[in-house]
Amino acid sequence: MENDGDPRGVQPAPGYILVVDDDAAIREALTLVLEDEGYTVRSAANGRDALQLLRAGEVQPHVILLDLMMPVMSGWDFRAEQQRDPTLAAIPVVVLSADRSLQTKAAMVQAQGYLAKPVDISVLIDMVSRYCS
Amino acid sequence: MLHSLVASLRSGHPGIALRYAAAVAAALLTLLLSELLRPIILPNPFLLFFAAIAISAWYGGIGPGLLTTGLTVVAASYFFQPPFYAIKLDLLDIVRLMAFSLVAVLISSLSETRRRDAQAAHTQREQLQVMLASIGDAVIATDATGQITFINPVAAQLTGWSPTEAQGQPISAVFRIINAETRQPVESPVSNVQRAGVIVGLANHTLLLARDGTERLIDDSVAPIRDAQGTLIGVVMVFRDITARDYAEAERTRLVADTQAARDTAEQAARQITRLQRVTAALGAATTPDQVADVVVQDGLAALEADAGAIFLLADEGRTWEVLSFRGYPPELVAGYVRTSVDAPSPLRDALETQAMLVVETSEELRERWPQLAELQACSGDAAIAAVPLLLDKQILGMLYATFRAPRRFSADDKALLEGLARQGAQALERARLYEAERAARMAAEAALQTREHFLSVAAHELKTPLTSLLLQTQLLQRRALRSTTLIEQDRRGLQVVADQARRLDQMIAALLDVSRLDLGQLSLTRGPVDLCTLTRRVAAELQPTSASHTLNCLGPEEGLIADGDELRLEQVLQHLFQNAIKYSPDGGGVDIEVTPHDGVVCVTVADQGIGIPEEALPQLFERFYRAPNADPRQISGIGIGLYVVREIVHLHGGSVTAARRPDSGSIFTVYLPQWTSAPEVEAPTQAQTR
Repeated sequence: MENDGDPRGVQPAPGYILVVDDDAAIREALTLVLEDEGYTVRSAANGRDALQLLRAGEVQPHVILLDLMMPVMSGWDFRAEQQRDPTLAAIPVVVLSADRSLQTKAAMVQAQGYLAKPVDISVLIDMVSRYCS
Repeated sequence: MLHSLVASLRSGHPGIALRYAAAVAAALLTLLLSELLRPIILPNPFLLFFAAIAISAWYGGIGPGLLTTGLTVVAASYFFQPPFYAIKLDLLDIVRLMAFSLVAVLISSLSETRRRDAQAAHTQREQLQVMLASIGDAVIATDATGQITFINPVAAQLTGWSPTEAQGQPISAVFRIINAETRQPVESPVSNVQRAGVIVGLANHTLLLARDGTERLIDDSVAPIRDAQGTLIGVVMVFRDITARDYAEAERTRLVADTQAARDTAEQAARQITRLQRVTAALGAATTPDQVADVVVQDGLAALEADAGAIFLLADEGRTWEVLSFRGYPPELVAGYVRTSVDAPSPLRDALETQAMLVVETSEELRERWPQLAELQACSGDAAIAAVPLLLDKQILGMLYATFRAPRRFSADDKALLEGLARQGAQALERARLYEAERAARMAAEAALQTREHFLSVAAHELKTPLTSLLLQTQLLQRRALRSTTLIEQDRRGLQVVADQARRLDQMIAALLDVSRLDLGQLSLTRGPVDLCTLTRRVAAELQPTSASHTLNCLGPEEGLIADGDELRLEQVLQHLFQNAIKYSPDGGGVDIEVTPHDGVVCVTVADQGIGIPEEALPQLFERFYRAPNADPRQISGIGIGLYVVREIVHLHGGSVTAARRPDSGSIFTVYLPQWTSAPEVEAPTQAQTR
């Protein structure tokens, strides 16, 4: 293998991803994995920060990876706000949670997809790539 | 003729012919006598004939009298009127004859009246005689001195004296009476009447002693007989034998009393039964010791008609009394009993010592036996008490105490009722205690379950959070290691171990969560067609890399055996079974996995060559947290939930799972799952077309 490694690691960003999770370690792990895949990643610790980030930014993410249980503003409330905001409503959301009935809850917030924690790296990359092609 | 004459004379009722014949005879006899005495009677020839007329009229009545008168007129005119032996009447003679006739007619009619009166009196007397002889009551009449003048056949029979013998005897000799109870002679009612002169009745229970000694209970009344001037001329006594009547009356009275008593007893028994039934029903509904005690004291003591009562329980390991419930006592009195020592002298202590029912029937006995309690007793006004131990399996739980304001004799029924009440009460108390204990235990268990569920839920979530980043970072490192040349082989293997262990941790957490969900019935299935051939092969292929020393052999068809199930859950089942086969075969070897169709079900068998299952472990193998004794925890890790989850998920599918020892070595697990059948509305037209 070459020093530069896999060509994906150095290719220009194929997409922009917003990670919303209250756990800093998870935010960092997700960011590292996705950046390693060449994505541009921004992260927020709760729903309120995520909304601020989205409304301040010029570029909209291709997908939002959203945790449900968060302080300040939960994933539920964030999703409701996002859907009420016409400029943000179209952004696809993948719920990422350790919740036991994740499938049901993802449907309740009308998410486009869901990933159970702990998530397998290949499953994660596969899911994200669907929204960034 | 002579006979009838004699009979007629005797009877006093002569026939008509006889009466006229007598008239003629009297006339003829007088004529003959007058002829003989002719010189003496000549100046007044009718003199003797007055006597003949009087006799005829007295004996025969007015007709014969007139006949004698007519004959006299003819005879006197012919024989004794000049010109003698011929009839020649001048005016004076006619006047004389008419005067005679008038006097004669007068004599005749007077005699007739007299005759009729005598005849009527005779008839009356006859009737009276017959009447007195034929009535059912006994009659004795005496004269003024008390001598018997008449005794009728009934009286003769009752006294044992014949009328002839009794006649003229003093009444006291024939009519002997005594008092039935004292057997003392009773004063003759006759002397009473003689003295008082009014009607007198006998006192009750008078016995008549007959001549032969027979005793008869009689009832009588005695009346004075007076003459026209009101002078006492005798007494008449009427009496009757009432022995039979008295006996019948006594019998009737006794029967009425017996019936009443029986009815009272039956009614009381019915009342008691009703009350006891009410007590039993109420006890059945009582769920706490307090409720039980209230029922026994309120309803149970009412059944006994007790004025007050209480249930005492042994407290402080049998050292003191505790009042569980009471009724009818002043609260301050009860307060005095709370936490009193069982050794304090009282009926409770005595009943506790003897372990038997204690009853006291009078207040005197109460004072005598427990003088210390005299004050209390005076205050509560107890006259009778009962203390009955509440016994359960020869152990005294407490005491049922009942008090009565009036002295009371405790019948066998009362005691049986007390015993029954105490027995029912003791059983209900124990039942209520057990029920309370059971309820407390159940609540504690439910609370523990909730706590565990909450803990597992939080723990799983909290464990999964670091695991998420751990797994992601490890996998990222592995991916980067593939691209890097700086990592040596040992580092790569090290990374692989970290990744594997993180996954294992994840599976354990998932299994724990599943157990929690199964316990709470929260695990639900999303069913659909699941191809078990492809599923077993996929799961086996995923697991194969985890162990180099085992070979997972998938036998049977590559696809096409479809079960009706939840694919994710069935994948979990297969993972547990395959992982177990690997785990319990520490020396490695082959694991044969085969899917076969079987009469409406699809079977998956997993056979390993591992340590096997001891016979005694088979029945409990699928129980939660159970681990077979031959699995050394230091060699083979696990917490005993895998097979439990397998069984529960398979059961949720309506299937079953079995475990068996293989004859040589190892184990074989078989899962039976319902075969997928297409929906009936789709199937029906197909069948119709086929036909």
